[in-house]
Amino acid sequence: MRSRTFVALLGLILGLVQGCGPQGPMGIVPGGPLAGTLVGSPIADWSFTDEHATIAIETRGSWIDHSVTVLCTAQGGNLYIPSRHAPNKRWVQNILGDPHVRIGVDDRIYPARAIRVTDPGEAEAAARAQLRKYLGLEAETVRPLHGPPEPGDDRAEVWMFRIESLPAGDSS
Amino acid sequence: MRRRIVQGLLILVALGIAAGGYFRLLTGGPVFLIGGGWLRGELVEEPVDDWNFISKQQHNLDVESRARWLPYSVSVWFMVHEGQLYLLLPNLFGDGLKLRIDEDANLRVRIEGKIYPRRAVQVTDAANMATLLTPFLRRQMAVEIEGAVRRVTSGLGADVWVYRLEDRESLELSNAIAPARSSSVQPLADGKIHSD
Repeated sequence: MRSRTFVALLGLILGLVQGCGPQGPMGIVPGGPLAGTLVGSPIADWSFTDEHATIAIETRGSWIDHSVTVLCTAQGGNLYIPSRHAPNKRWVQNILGDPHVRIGVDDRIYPARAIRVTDPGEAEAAARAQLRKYLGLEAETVRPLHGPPEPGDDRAEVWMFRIESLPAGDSS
Repeated sequence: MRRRIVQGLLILVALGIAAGGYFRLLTGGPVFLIGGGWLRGELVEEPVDDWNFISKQQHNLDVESRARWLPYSVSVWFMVHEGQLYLLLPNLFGDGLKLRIDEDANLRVRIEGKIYPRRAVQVTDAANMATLLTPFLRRQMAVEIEGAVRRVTSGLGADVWVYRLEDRESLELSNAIAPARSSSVQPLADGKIHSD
């Protein structure tokens, strides 16, 4: 009994450390505040993320910062991050409450603001870039589907966020 | 103090090894995105002609390879097109299963608790891939594509592998009756594969 209690307690501690401690997500496991070197100048071109399959995004929670691993696509110098089943995601809800985020790429942290993409043209360009990056496909017509799926439709509801770089210390 | 720290680290290492062994040997398959070992389930040896019975709510398929000394199972994307079952393996999630398929194309897939022995045959022509990926893109990425489709031969997306899962017995019989025909489209001079 004492060994089971110890293992359970250890697991709880590890979970709390991972979720709330000063490190980012580990794969599919969310994390707390990101740790790394803060980049003070805004980024004009995010194309350096093309070599990265995933990056980290830290969002401001109601009581603690919450970070997750996400896909990313650079298009036209901007950075885009998709979210499947977006309304159910904690990090998405955090962004809706406060758009200030921090992006983690390797050991560098970039302050930014996440803006949900609503312009159809921009959404299409981001979707094209995502298809090219992750599936190696270019199609004549690419049409992102917006809004929640109809009853019986098994497609995901995907929201796309544009990441706007901010200088360090800018909370506007 | 130092002794306690060392003991704590040893406990963490032991827990890590135990967790790794547990997931690899005892879970009966992958857990979420964590790879596992043998798949547990009821073996189905009868051929399957139509895979449309797979629930539309299911987004991933548990697949097991026994190419190496220890069975390896992982949860992967899949598609059903014209009744046939396909696996989609982007390099984004690593190439562990792809390398094992290269060594031994025999796989076992688990659907709703039942195990189906299959054999993976790679799909390489761009036109066929576009047809296959269209419903998948709609379901997983909420994107519809139309018109001509071509493959990009550089960058992260260059490595995407698609396999059709065939019945092992029928594949062996068809190979015995007639020579295999290549279904790949030769790339054009610019290195890209185009679909007509």
